Parts: sequence; C-alpha cells; structure tokens
Amino acid sequence: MERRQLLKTSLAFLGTTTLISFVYPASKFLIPPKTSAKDTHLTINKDEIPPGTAKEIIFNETPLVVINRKGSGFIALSRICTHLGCLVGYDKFNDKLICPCHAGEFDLEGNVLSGPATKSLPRYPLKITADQITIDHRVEDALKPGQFTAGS
Amino acid sequence: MMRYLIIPAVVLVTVVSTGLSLASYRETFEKEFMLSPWAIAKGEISACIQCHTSDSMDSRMQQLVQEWRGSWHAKNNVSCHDCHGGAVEDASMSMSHQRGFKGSPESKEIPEFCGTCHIAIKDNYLDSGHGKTFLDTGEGPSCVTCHGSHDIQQASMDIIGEQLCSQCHSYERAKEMKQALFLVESKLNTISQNLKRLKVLGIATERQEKAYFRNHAGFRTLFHSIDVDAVRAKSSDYTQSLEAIEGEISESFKQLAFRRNFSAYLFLVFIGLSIVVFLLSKSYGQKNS
Amino acid sequence: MWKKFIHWIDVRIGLEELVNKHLRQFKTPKGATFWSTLGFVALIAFIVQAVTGIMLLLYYIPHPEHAFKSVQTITNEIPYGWLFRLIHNVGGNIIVAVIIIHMVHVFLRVSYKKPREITWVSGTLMFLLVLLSCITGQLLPWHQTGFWQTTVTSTIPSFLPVIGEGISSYMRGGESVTGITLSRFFSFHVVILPVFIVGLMLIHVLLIRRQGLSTSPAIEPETEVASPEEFRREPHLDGQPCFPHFSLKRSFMVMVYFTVLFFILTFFPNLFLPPDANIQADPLTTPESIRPAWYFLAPYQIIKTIPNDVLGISLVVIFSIVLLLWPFFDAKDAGRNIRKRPMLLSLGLIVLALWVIFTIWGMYS
Repeated sequence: MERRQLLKTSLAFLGTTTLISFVYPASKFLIPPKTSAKDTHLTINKDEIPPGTAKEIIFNETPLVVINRKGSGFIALSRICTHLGCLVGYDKFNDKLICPCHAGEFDLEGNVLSGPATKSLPRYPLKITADQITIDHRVEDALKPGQFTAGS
Repeated sequence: MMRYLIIPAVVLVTVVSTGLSLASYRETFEKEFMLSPWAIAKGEISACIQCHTSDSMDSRMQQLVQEWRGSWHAKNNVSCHDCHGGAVEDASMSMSHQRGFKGSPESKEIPEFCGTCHIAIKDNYLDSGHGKTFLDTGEGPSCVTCHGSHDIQQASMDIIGEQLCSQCHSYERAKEMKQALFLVESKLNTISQNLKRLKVLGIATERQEKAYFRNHAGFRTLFHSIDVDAVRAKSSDYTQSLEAIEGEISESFKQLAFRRNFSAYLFLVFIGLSIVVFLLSKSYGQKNS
Repeated sequence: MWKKFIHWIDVRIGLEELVNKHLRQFKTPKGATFWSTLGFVALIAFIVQAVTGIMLLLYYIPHPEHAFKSVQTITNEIPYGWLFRLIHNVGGNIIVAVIIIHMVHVFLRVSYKKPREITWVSGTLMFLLVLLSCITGQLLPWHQTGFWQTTVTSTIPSFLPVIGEGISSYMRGGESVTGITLSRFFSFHVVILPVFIVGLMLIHVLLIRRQGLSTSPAIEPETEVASPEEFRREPHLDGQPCFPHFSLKRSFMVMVYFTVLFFILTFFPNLFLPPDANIQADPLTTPESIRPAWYFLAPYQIIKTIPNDVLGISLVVIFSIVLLLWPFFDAKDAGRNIRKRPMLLSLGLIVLALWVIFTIWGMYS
C-alpha cells in the first residue's frame, strides 16, 4: 500500500508538471509577438522629392524608394526585387523601376512589367499632409478582386 | 469457404499480371500523368529545341542543346528564346524578327547580348580594363571567354585560373584578385550552405536568402570592374552585411536547439509518467496478463 | 475541502452513483489487455489533433496568397507555435498508425462478429474519414508537397469511367487545384469531417459501453455465446473494474503514445516534412517526384503497377468496401478463436503482408 501511495504521489507530481509544461506554452502561444519594427512611422519633407524624382531611404532596415510620380502623386515601394532580392532602381526617363541583376521591370505602382519576377513590389501606406509625407511600417496587404476565382 | 477464396484469388491474379507487365505499364502510367494539365510546364518542348535536336541539324547544333541542358540557365528555366528571342511555342515564328529573334551575336555584340539581362555586370565590365580593351581592339575577354556560351555554370572563384587568365597577361594580377575575393567569397559560401540547411529544417529563410543574394550579386558585379583596390575597399562593407546575416543564422540555429531541448524534456517527462502509470497499473491488477 | 466540493456536485447530479455504476462496477473482461486500450488511445490522439488544430486555427489564413506565410509565421514567430504545429503534423501520422493497429487487433480477436457489426462499420467509416482528414489537411499549408500530392490524389478518380471526371472536379472545385480547392478542403478538414467523426465516435463508444468490451476467446473460451438471439450484456464477474484497473491500462498506453510523439519531435522533427514542404506551392513547377503520404503508398503502388488503371482503382475501392462490410462477409458463426480458424488467420496475415510489401515498394520505387 505504501508503494501505491508513493506511486500516486509521483503521478500527481509528474501530472502537474506535464500540465504546466503544456499550459505555459499554450498561454504564450495565445499572445502574438509585438512587431519587431523599431519605428512605426517615418516622416520626410515633400520638398525633398521634386516631381518626377525619387528618394531612396532605409526604414526599419528595409530599403524603400519614395517616388513623386507626375500626375499620380507619391508612392512608397520596397526596393527589394521580388525575384531574388536585388535592389531596384528608379529609371526616371522611362518611368519604371529596374532591377540590375536580371533586368526585371516594375511600373510605378510596383506591378511587374517584364522579367523573371512574378509578384509586385510591396507597397507602404502613406499619409500626406501639406508639406510632409509619413510612411507607415505595415506593408499594404491588398487582395486584388478576382484573385480567388478558379484559375488564379 | 468460397468467399475467402475470392480475395486471395483476386490478389494472386493481380500479382501475377503485375509481374508479367511491370516495366511498360509504369511508363504508360507516368506518361498519362505527364499529359495532364499540370505537367505541361515540365514536359513542354520548345520549338527551338525540337528543331535543334532533330537529325536534320548538324552535330554542332545538337551539341549546343546538350550543353545548355547541363547549364545553370537551364536549371533556372532560362531557355533559348530568353536570350535569342523568337517565338518558343510556334515553330514558324521561332526565328522571326517580329518576335524579337536576334540570332547568334557577333563577337563585339556579346556584352550587349548578355547585358540585356545582366545589366549591372555589363556596366561594370564595360568600365573595366577587360571591357575597354575588348571594345577598342576587339580582343581580350568577353563574357563567353570566361563563362562559355551555352554551357554556363554557376559563377564561382574557380573560374579564375592560370590557364584562362594568363592568355593575355601574367597570372600574378589574377592571383591578387582571387586573394582579394577570398574572404567575402568564403563567407558567402558558408552562408549559402547554412541557409539551405535551415530551410530544410523548417526555418523561414526568405528574407535572409534575399539579403544573401543581394550581397552576392553586388559583390560579383563589383568583381567585373577588375579593380583589386575597389574590391578590397568594398570588402569590409560586404563583410559587415554578411555578418548581420550570419547573426540571424546563428539565432535560428539556437532556436532549433531550444526546440530540440524542449521536446526532449517533454519526452523524458512522458517516459517518467509511463513508468509510474505502468507500476501503478501493475499494483492493482493481479489477475490479468 | 475537496470532499466538500465533491459532495456539492453529488447532490446535484448524483456523481457518486454515476461513478459507481459506470466506472467501478462496469467490468471489463479478463482478456482485456493493453492492446484492448488502443481504441481509447485513438480517441485521445483525435482530441490532441482537435486541440492543436484549434490552436493553429487562431493564426492560419486559408487563402493561397497567405496560407504558406501564415504557417511559417506560426512555426517561426509565434511563441511555441513550432510545438503545436509539429504535434499536429506528427500526431496526424501517429493517429493513422494507432487506428491501423487497433483494427488489426480487433480483426485478430474476431470481435466484429454479431452483435458487434455496427461497431466495426462505424469504426471503419471513422478510419476512412480520418484518412480524408489527412488528405484535406496536407493541402492547407499550401506547400509544394501538399499541392502536388493533392493534384495527384484528385486526379486518380478521373480514371474511372463516367463518374470519374465528376468526382475529380467536385473534389477540386475545378480543373486544377486552386484557391477554391483550398477553401473547400479547409471547411472539410476543420468542420465537416470532424463533425461526422465525432458522430460516429459517439455511436462507436455508446455501443461498446452498452454491449461491454469483447472477450478474448483465447483466455475465456467458455464465455462466448455462439450467436446471441437477444440483447445481452456480459457481467464479466471475474473481470476487472473499469476504474481504476482498466483505466490505468488505458492511461499507460496514452502515455506511450505521448512518449512516441515526443520521441519523434525530439529526434526526427522533420520526419513528415520533406524538403519540398518548405517551398511555397508553385503550379508551374512540378517537383522531381511526387509521393503520397506513407499510409497511401500501398494503394498508390497497387494502382501504379496494375496494367489497367480502372482495374487498379476499382480494386482499391472494392477492398475498402469489403473491409467496411467485413462482419457481413464473415457472418457464419464459425467461432471467434482465430487460432481455430486458419483460413481467416492466413487471409488476415496475407492482406497485412501485402500491404506492408506494397508500402515498402512504394517508398523506394
């Protein structure tokens, strides 16, 4: 009987340990980690980017390009080519973004025009005031209409 | 009685007919699958390859296709029309200028030909001693001198060799360049191997893969300037970038080690529980096996 | 303190009486060995899948553009996400193994005979639904392995004449595997199949409780009534109480299940995640070799090697139907002791051996 009692106690002890070993990770699991981005916003002055030009900046360690498009306003796009990761450059003569590694071309909305890339360049939301542009760190996640139909 | 014989009989018939018809039917099965829509990407034969591998072509043409098949371009789905233009799906338009067919480039057109895609490398090359010599005199190395034309392999430091580089000048210069490249190249190799390992182990490596490629491409582009001082000057920048990636890689390995340790802890806890429950069960049940 | 709490409950639901009647006085027969607990282990394995599945559901996004990334986020960014993802992945394979061993045990005990036919049928149906859950589940992470396995699996029915194309189209929601396939596989995996599995489980467990666990004819040959003409529940007077005796046996096997699970997690965490499982699905790139999961290797290899596709698939379908309705094929009361029935024993062993052979062959071909 003593042995049984000892076993029952060990069972209780081990059982509680096991329970805690699952409850602890489960409770941590329920709380998603905070974003690792150091800054949530970046503000630059409008007059740093005359119309038809672009400015290359680094935001949360990601290289971005902010373009002042003639007629369509400002846009902030990631410079990391969606093919293999080289940095695209703004070609003001042809209103395109060109990747120097394999000649991938993107339009000024970030969409692929030609070359090996298949996905558009990630776009960052902008808030534009009278003389400043504020870039948000959360990439725009727009699902384009018709993306969920057969054949997509 | 009879009902039991049905199943073994069917099984026996199956096994026997299987044994008799093994090889050819597996082929049929695979071919049927290959003809299904999803397999078109793999099984697609381009118009270019269809002609250039046929017996009506001379052996040199057929050889080119063979060389391309073993190349780094082929592995990355870069095919004839991607460089030479023309229509890949339509034999009648496969060499049409309307569809951008360029034919074989002349010797002096080679840098522009390869530079259609490899823009940055072309720019650096044309600025370099190699490029300037080639443009001025028509002699000296062009892209195909070091990389070949169809049998292009993944670029590495091993291309720099005594036989190749001492055709025009002493090997000393090339050796100096090779030494200047060495540290960053070794780092690039280690990172590449580690990223492959991490990927197979389930770690999300896309961001690091892109950063690695960015650095790798930049460094290779820099090399084409054939300027040892420039390479040496920039090496520390590249080393710093790569060290950041190495830092993230070692974090990932640490995370994997943590996962193994935590799983091992749970494993031991359950072994303990199994033993305790077993002993408890034995202490109750005397009558049963 | 504890006693007060128990008493409070007891006054309201009669806990004491329930525990006595259903746990202490419910007797399991003498021949109820550790093997007899496998059904319970399968139940626990299912609960583990459900719980880890619900946790994954908190972060998973069932859309082709986001599915892969969301699974990567769970595995690498959410604290202990890797633990629940891997338990779900490895557990999904262990549950199939447990069910197979359970069915082999039931077969060798010939426990499916009258009056337990419904128990067998509901059990086999559950097995088929669990296999369907595995098929639907492997598409959800939207990686190369799952995408292409689903493509092959959903094309196999199309070889059947007349109804084949319809079945394939219905499975995929179209001509090829797309976001629509993902959506319907998701709803099947998360809601439809679990609901049916739980329903069948209730029937299965209710029948076992009502009829009592089957005896082992080797240990208690005299208790087996040839063919009961009326409902009768064996008292098993010299058996053991369900609680704590048989419950402890069950608990032990559950501990073994968890031990095996964490053994695999510690030493072979990627056993069921081949390299292609880390690459996002790409409809334009077919991998070098598409191989189904281990439990489908046997039927896949059979279909591959039989000359005629229709014959091959029909064979697998016929085998499944025979398996499902087996108690009615073996309805003549020729006794439950398999040692006295060499035909049945050899049939069972041959089928098992063939299954193993085809599985191994499928692995290396």
